[in-house]
Amino acid sequence: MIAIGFEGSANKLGVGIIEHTDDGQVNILANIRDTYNAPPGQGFLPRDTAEHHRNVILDVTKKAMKEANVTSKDIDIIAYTKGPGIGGPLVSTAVVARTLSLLWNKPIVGVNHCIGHIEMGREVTKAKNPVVLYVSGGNTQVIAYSEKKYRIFGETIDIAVGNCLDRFARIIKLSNNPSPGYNIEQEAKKGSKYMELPYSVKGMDVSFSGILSSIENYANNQLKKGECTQADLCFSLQETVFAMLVETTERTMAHVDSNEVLIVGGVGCNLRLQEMMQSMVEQRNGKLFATDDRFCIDNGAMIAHTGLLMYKHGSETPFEDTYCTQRYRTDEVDITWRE
Amino acid sequence: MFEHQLSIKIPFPEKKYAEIAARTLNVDNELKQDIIERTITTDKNVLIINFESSNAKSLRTSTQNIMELLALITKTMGEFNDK
Repeated sequence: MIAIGFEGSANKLGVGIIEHTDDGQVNILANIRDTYNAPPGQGFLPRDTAEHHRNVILDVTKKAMKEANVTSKDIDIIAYTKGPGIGGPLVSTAVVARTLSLLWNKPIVGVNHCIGHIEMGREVTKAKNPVVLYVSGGNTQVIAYSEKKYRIFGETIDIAVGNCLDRFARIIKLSNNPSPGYNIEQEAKKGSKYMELPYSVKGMDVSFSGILSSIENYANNQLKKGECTQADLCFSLQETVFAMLVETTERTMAHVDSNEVLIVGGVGCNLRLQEMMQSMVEQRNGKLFATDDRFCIDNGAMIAHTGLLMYKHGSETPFEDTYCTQRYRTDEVDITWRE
Repeated sequence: MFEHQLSIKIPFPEKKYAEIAARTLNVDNELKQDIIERTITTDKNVLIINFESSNAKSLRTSTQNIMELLALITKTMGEFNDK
């Protein structure tokens, strides 16, 4: 069975094509992505992002179908990101999925973006039942599977860790290409002076807006006076926020008695985060799983893959319900495909 | 209340394309339903979009929005049509 998946919840427009064979193989036939980057010092705005998606989606779709060597006749279902995410970009993407569903007369499935990340991560890494750290510009959650739901054990009570990183990158005017987080990671490697930042873990949850205020303060004062470098600030920010994430992940591991961790989401590409997580996991005789940027960053393949899992286990979205929703909790979805 | 009105009629080559556009656009509601009312129907091969709004600005932004999505839908049908 073959699915085409459409992803556009933030600034990445992705179209992926996945095949599930009868003997249980998962083949990634195509995974094409086009990212919208705002100029340095700016964040991506909903209106411009939606326009970007509308401008590129048809070409990206054609490219994906060509790479997968499929025509509409080969495609069995159409999957799209229902949410969570930003309204305009989500709808601009969903509209194409809906049109193709009617034009080609194929079933359509609305996928939860977070679950897309989790399922693609499990498939690519073969992690069986890991604690999942989902970290991106829009989301920060620690998740564990239990009785047909991906349960959120801990999350941010204000902004996502990626949002904190992205907004700091704007303050120091780092380029947004390929992503602000990537550029912070490269800068941080050159830093060594640790600037004290508030460490904010609240029980199972984390908070980043205080840290953002503090680092903004450093940028406006100590950085300007030359008491520290940009690289020092990037280094300090990463060390602090990543330590917080490692702590809450470890707490969840202890809670559910698991020794596997899977990191998904754009911030999951960060090698320093992976390194810190690996240290903790090793101390617990466990295993860390992570994917490369093809899959940690938002992509269409994860939507296609999850759409197939849902469809094969009874979930098709009635056409009139193919709307998008900016808030869509990970634990709202029935995970019909797992025991 | 709804003193500002706009009616857009767009002919398509065949009835089925007008219906695909109508069904696709009708999935989403207008965001400010107390200020603007939208109805999308078809009459054979013609897509009919009617707006009624209590203010001109809302009418303008909603119209721009729907036309951008409609342009995308039309282009999609043109480029991915099977026949």
